[in-house]
Order: sequence, then structure tokens, then C-alpha cells
Amino acid sequence: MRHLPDAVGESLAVPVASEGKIIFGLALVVYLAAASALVFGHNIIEGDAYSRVGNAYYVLYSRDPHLAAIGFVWNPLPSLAMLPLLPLKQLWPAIVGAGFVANIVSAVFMAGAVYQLSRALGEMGLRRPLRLVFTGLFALHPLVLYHGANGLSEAPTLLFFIFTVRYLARWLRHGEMPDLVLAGTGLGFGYFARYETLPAGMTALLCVAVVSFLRCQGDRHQRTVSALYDLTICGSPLALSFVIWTMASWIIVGHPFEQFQSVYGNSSQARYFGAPRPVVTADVGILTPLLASWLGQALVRVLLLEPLLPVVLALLLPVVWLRRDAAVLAPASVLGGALLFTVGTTANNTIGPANRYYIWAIPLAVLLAAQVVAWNGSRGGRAADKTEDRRAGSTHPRKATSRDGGARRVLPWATPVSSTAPAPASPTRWSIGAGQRDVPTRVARALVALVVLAALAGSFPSATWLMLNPRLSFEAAGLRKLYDPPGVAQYYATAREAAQDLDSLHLGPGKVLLDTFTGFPVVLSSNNPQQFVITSDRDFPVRLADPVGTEVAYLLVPPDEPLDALNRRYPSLYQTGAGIADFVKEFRAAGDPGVWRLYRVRSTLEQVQRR
Amino acid sequence: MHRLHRIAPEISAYRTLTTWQRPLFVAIGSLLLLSVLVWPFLVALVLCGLATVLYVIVFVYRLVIFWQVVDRPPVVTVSDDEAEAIPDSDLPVYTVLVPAYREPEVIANTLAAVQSLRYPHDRLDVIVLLEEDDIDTMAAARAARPASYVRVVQVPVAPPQTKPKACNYGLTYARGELVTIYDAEDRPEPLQLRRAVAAFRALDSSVGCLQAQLSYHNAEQNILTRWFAAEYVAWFRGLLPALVAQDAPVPLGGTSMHIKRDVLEHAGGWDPHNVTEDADLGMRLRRLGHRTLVLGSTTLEEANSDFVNWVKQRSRWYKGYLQTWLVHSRHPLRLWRELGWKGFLAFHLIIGGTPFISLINPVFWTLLLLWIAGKPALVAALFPGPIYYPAMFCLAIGNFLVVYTNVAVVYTNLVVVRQAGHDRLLLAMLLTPCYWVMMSIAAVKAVLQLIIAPWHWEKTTHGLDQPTPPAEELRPVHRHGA
Repeated sequence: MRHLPDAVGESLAVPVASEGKIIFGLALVVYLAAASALVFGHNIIEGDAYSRVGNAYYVLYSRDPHLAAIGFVWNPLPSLAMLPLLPLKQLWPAIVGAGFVANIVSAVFMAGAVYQLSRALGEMGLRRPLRLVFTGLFALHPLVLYHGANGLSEAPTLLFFIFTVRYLARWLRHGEMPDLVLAGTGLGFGYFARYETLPAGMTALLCVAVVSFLRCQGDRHQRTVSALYDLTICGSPLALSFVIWTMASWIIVGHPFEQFQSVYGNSSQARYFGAPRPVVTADVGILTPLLASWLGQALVRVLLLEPLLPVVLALLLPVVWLRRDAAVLAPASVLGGALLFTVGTTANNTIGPANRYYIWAIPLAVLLAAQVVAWNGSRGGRAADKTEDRRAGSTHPRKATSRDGGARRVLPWATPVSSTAPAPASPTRWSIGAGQRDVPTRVARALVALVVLAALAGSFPSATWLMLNPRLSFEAAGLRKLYDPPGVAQYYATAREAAQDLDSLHLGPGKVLLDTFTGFPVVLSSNNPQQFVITSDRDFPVRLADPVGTEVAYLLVPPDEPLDALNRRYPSLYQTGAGIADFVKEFRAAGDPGVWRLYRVRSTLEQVQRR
Repeated sequence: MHRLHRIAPEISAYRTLTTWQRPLFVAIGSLLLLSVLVWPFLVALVLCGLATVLYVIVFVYRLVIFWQVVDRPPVVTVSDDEAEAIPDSDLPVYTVLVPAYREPEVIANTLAAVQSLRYPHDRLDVIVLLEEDDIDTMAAARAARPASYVRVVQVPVAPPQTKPKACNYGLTYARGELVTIYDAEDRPEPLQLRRAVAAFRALDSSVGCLQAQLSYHNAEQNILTRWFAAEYVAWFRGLLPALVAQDAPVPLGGTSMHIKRDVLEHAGGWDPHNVTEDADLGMRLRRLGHRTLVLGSTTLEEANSDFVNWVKQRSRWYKGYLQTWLVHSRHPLRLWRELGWKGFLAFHLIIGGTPFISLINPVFWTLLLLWIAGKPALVAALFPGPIYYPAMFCLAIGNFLVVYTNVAVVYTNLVVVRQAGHDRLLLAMLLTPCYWVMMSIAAVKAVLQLIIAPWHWEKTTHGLDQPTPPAEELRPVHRHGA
């Protein structure tokens, strides 16, 4: 417990450390509750999340357990985080069967993101009441709530992004290297969560380099050196992550950039299915003309998710000029960079216009808006004193005891004979509080705060409308089920049925061949996962090429899936058995669009006879 | 001069291996040999596993201790005003030992640097220690017309002909309350002695020694000097303060350590048989309960700019570290009691670990290269799951973290580093792995020398930063670096 207040102007007696824990705990409970409602209440399961559960599952429970089964097309972090929880399936099968472990993981990560955000708000100087409100405006935003609950990878990415923003802001304010180290570490980890970290990192590093160059006192050469060091400190963890992942992918799978080179990756999907089409083709009322262009698509989404963003930006510029606080560049560069990347890739149709890619706009808006309000309400000059600000306790990861002003450990050498340690390059033009004008009157301040909060809160209904609109959002189809009566057929019912059927045959290991690209629900629903030969098995190509010789008994094929390995290898397999297998049965469940066909592989003798 | 060996032979490097160490090593050695013949693969696997464990421990340890001091390393800083504020009459007599051997060209510079120290002349006791047979240097010293407070003392020729022996001899002539050493080509910062006095006065009496920070004045000469300079910054401004914070023994630098005379005598002086007598002294001080702190004052030295010379110097350091490690491991329980667990850990990982890691690195580099070249099954078999993942961690992340922490320390001290004239260290630091290769070469040489000639002190040639370096040959004379 720290006996010094956290945020400037803190007056409540509740210790700060508990506040963080409470926020985290509350957020976690909310997200887990939402997750349970989605999965167990309405069978709303995100395919991508369920697929990541599969990746983790294969590492431990497949026929050929090995870490590389985690897959190299998508980032490994979500699956890696699930690994320790998988053994719980003995106690609670739904963790794997319904993929709930992904939801648990995303809930934990998102709660962590909420925690980091609240800390960042505190460091901005926001007092507790406002801090809690702004935290709530982020945590309970419909899209954030949905992604905390649904098991997708936005949650870990948000955690690392907000972590990076927080420590980058601290570095921008105080120029202390440990903060830059942590910011760099956040980027490094973020790369394993989603690739968007790369563009976000690029913009962040650009910001770091420019600020470092401008801030350093000295001639041109010294400034360049200083900027280079800062770039190295902040950028090398990300570079390392990039190298490690690329090398691992290259060595294990043969392609350094599996995301682009794999047959299952985005690029390949785009090739087969054509460029992603905008969801909306029909009339969406007044928005239709806007949605015709890609820019319109992007803008509409951003505005619906966070209508406040343009207002905030408009308010921000004059205030930035007045306050000269470089810390606002932190959210702008990291989250803004990710957002720009999304807009750019939507523009050239590399990805579909899904809402999830615009989620960065939400913390961006909240943080920027909070910044405006924080400047508005904070006492003038207080933050100008760097030392004071530090003692007032920007929460530092290290134990409080070694940094409390004066309350040092009792060691003879801890007290320097004098306190003239060499000072870091001090900010010049960007000094905190220097050149600050008089703060507006109380009424005006309250008004601005109210406007900001109202606008942020207004994002809730607009975002909800967006998410539930089937013409604009991919997730609307699933979320519509929230209104449907219970008793609707379960998602992946077909897969479940297939799995039960196969389990009842009590087959030995390696008897059923399928491609987990679409077949993962079958493996996850089965009690005998080792009966399957799956894509991540190291002998998959051999067995696919020669099922007879490798004693594969059955082939499970999906229809209409040109990227499926079985369909690629034996194009006529689904329709006629490709001359190597006989049709056994078809699996088709009511309400579930999936249809699977089971084929029994003919033995060599049978093949000869049939010829 | 050989006091230590006589009064406390257990702590002297006179014998490299003590009563139980030799039979233990012989036993281990023969057991290993036997097992290799019977179960070659298993033994290789076990060794691989043990090495991986050691690597992980070393990496994590280094990271942890660095992180604990990252934003305020416990360096004792004394401002110029505080240093100059002490009236001359209040200052104690200070003995400055200047051991030199075969340094006729540079002795004049050294004397000039020492004479530029801002300390009252009547309280300064400079003793230049020259070997009896070193006529050239003696003549050069006399020609430099040293001040009245400088005495030139001739050390009688007797084995081992090492610097610590000379210093011990010089100690018998010393008048001062505080003692320090400066080497040939050292350029101490002028207020250093005063800072040391002020610091000692302000600190606890348990502080017996203050180690000033060493740096290089010729860092920009070539890549080797840059590596060396970066290494020194990381050592004196990163690792040593981190060890201080751990309350661990501090391996001293061979110069600019400021010790209280009575503490030094209590510890038994320097060990003339140890080729890194400084590290050894640091150990002994800590074991006897005296603390060493880092003083925020810089002495500039000359960095080795020649590859061969550097290997000689570094192999001597590794040999000395191994000597120190063997000597102080003789009574492990006593050591644990004297140092505490943190100090005990630091001792083994830093003093023993540094040369040892450099020694086994080439083995793993070779395995890595083999694997990249052809992925032989044997290499894959040596790294099953539980060994593979930690080893991968060490390779990918551990090495990165070492370089990263070095960069961070240099950057934190960029102001000071710039003042010393180092400017292009960043690129050199990113190429550190090549430096590690050189360290491994030195480590192999060190182990060989340890067995064959443990007290042999390979002199480092000086004056190589001059445009036309003198043609110095291999001569078993003393010099030191930290």
C-alpha cells in the first residue's frame, strides 16, 4: 500500500493499490458474465476464437503433441495463454467443447486493459470520480464489452496497446528511460497478439524519435545520437519479436511470413473468394451513399463507434498548443497508427470492413477526451514540478519503498552525499505546464466535462445500433440471437454430431483424416481427439497423399471449401469419393449450415476390384 | 610481502587448489571420462541440460539485479563544492601507489596525471614502485623531475614478480591513512581524492573501500576500444552498483580503489599470487565485513586497441577470476555465512560464472552452426523439450537482454559518457556478439594458463594509442586493468 496519493488532487482515503485490483476484478466479473451469457445462454460462438482454442488444444491433446502445432498463420499469444487452462477440461468439458477457454482468456486480458487504462487516466491527473467514469466509458462500451467476452484476439492486443500508451505517455512527460523500456516491451509482446502492432509500433517509434530529437539539448549530432538510443530502447523488443516469429515460422513451416504465404492466410482467402465485399449492398437509409466508398465505410464505422472522436480532435489541438504536453502523442501515435492501418487496408480491400478492426478508436477517444478534461480541471502549475509529480506517485512497477521521497531503505550508502546525479536530457519546449494559460472558470470547465462525457456516453447507443445492424456488421448475425427465444439449435451442432458418431466407433489413433481449417469443431467436440489426423500433425502430408498405405480409415470432408486440404488434393472427393473412398454418411444438423461427409477409405484390394 | 600466504594460506592463491579441491576435481574428471566412454550420449545430454540451467540462471539473475537499480543506481556522488569545501588542514594523509614496470615512455605522463590531483602536497604521499631491474623506467622517472612528495621506491626482484607484490612492498613505506593505486597511463579526475575523503566522512564506518569508476580516453580508436569502453560503462555504472545494491562482494578495479589503510591491513594486503588481486581483495574485504561502494568519480585509462594484447589481458583476468573463485570456494559454508545468500549467489555467478560461460559458449555456438548447416539428428537429440525451450529462450531472448541492458546503462550515462569522448558506441554495442567470441578465445587460454602457470602475469602493452606505437614484445611484467 502506498501512503502517498496516486493522482494529483486525490483526496479519498481508499488506498490506491486496491482501487486497481477492484477495477480489474469488477471488469473481469462483468466480462465473464457477458461471456457466459453469450456462449451458454445463446450459443453465440465466434469462429475465430473457437479456432484458436483448437490451436491450443492440438499442442497438448492431438495425436502428435508439439508446440509448433500452435500454428504460424495467426499470432500465437491467445492460444499460448489458453494452454495452462486446458487441463481443466477434465473438470469442465465445455471449456473446450464450447471453446469457453477463449472467452476466459479474453475476459482476463480485457480486464487487464481496463486496469491499465484506469492507471493511465490517473497518471494524466484525473481525479477519482472522473477516472472511474471514463474507465466505465471504455470498459462498458458495447464493442469492448463484446470483445472482452467473445474470445477474440482484440483483448490481448488492447491490453498491450494501452500498456504501451501508458508508459509512452509517462516517458513523454518525464523522460525516464525505464518507462521507455516498458513501452518497448509492450510493443514486443503485442506483436505476438496481433500484427497490427507493427504499424502501431512504427508510428510510436516515429513519435519517439522526433520527440527525442527535439527534446535533447545539444548540437545536431548529439540529438541524432539521443534519438537513435531512444529508438533502440523502444524499438528493439518489437524488432526481436518480429525476428523470432519470422525465424520460427521459416524454420518450422518453411515460410517466413505464413500470414501471407500460407494457403489458409488472409491473402489466400482473398485470392479464392475475391476481395472482401462490403457487407452492405442494400439500402441502409441515409447512410447508403456514404458507404459506397471505402473512406465512407471507415468514417461511418468510426463515427458510429465513437461519435466523439472528431469533437475531441477539434478540442485537442488548441489545448495541446496551450499546454504543450507531449503526452497526448502517446495514444495518438499508438492507437492512431493502428487505426490508420485499418483505414488503409480497408481502402485497398485487403480486409473486410469488420467493426473489430476499428476497436482502437474507442480507447483513443476515451484517452484523448480524458486528456482534455484533465487539463481542464487540474490545478495550474502543479504538474509543472517534475519532482513533485514523481513523488506524488506516478505508479511505478517497482516497490514503493525504494522510491518514496525520503523513506528509503536504511542502508548506509542509499543516501548520496549530494544529490547531483547527472540529469537526463530535460524537455525544453515541451516542459510540462510551461506556457500554460489561465484555466477557464469553473462553470466553463464543468460544461466542457459534461459535453465530453455526454458525447462519449452517446457512443453506446450508436455503437449498439451498428453492431446489431446485419447490413453493416458481421457480428450482427450472431448477436441477433440475443433476441431469439432459447432452444435454437446449437452452433456447430453438425460438428458435434459427427464427433459423437466417430467416437462411438472407438477408433484407434490416426484413423480419421480431416483438415482443421474448417474441421476444428469436430476435433474439439470429440472425446477421442487422437483418432484424428490433423493438419498440424507432422505426418499429415504423407497421410493425405496415401491414406491407404498409412492406414487411414476415414476421410471427413466439408463441402464448398476450396481451401480445405482434402478438397484441394482430391477435388472430386466430396461428390464422388475420388475413386479412393466410399460414401458412408452425411452429417447435417438443423439450423446449422455446415454439412460434412464421411468417406471410408477403400483398401488396396477393394480398389483393385473396383477398377 | 607474502604476508597473506603465511598468515592465511587458505585465502591465498599460492596453491590454486586446496586440500579437498584437488581430489574433488580429479574425481569429477575421472568420473566424467569414464561415463563418457560408457554412456556418451547420456553424459552429453546431462551436460547440455546443466549448461542450459546455468545459462538461464545467469541471464535471469543479471536482468533482475539490473532492473533493481535501473533508475537510481547506488553510486556515491560528491559535488565539486562539497569536495573543495574540506579545508586542507582537515584532510588526512593520502598514499598513492603507482606501480610500473617497463614503462619508460609513459611514466612521465602518469606522473603528470598524478601530480595534477588537487590535494595539498604536504598530505600527499605518492610512491612510485619500480622493480630493481627496471633501469629504463627509473631513469625516465627521474628525468621527469617528480615533485618532492613523490618517492621512487625500488622493489627487490623476487618471484612472483607481480603488481600486488610490489604494492604490498610499497605499503610498508606508506604514511597515509587512505590508500589508492593508479596505473601507468591513468588519468584520474583531479578532485577524486577529495571526493573519497568527503564520502568516507559522510558514510558509515562499515564502508571500507570506495571504488571509483574507470573509463577510457581512447574509446574512439577502433571497434575493440569501443567494445571495451561500452563494457566498462556497463560494468562500473551498471553491474557494480547492482552488486552494491545486493550487498554482494564487489570485485574491485585494479586502480582507483580508495581504501582505508587499517582496513587494508586487516584484510592482509593484496594477494601476490593472484593475477586479479583486485577482485580477490574485494572478496576478502566483504568477507571480513567491510563494505565497498562505488564512487562517482572517473579515472580515464587506456583501452587495449590491439587484438593480441587484448586477448592476453583478458585471459589474465579470466585466469584471475578462476583463481579467486577456487580460492574463496574452499570453505563454502563459511563463505555462505560471511556473505549471505545474495552475496554467495553473486560470487558464484559473477566471479565463477563469467569465465565459465565464456568457456562453454563456443560449444553451443558450434552446435547451433551445425544445426543450421545440416540439422543433424544428433544435435536435435541433445535438446529434448525441457532443455530445448529454455535453451531457445537463452539464445533468442537472453542474449538480446544482455545487449539491451548494456545499451540501457550506456544510455542512462550518456551525459557522462559523452564527456569522456565516447560517441559512437551504439553500433559497437549492437555487434557485441563478435566481442563475445573474442572473450571465449581468452577464456580457453585462461584455463590452459591456470593449469600450467597460475601466477604468470602477462603484461599489457601501453602506449598503443599513440600514433607510432613502440615495439613492445611479450614480457612477463605487470600492468593491470579492471
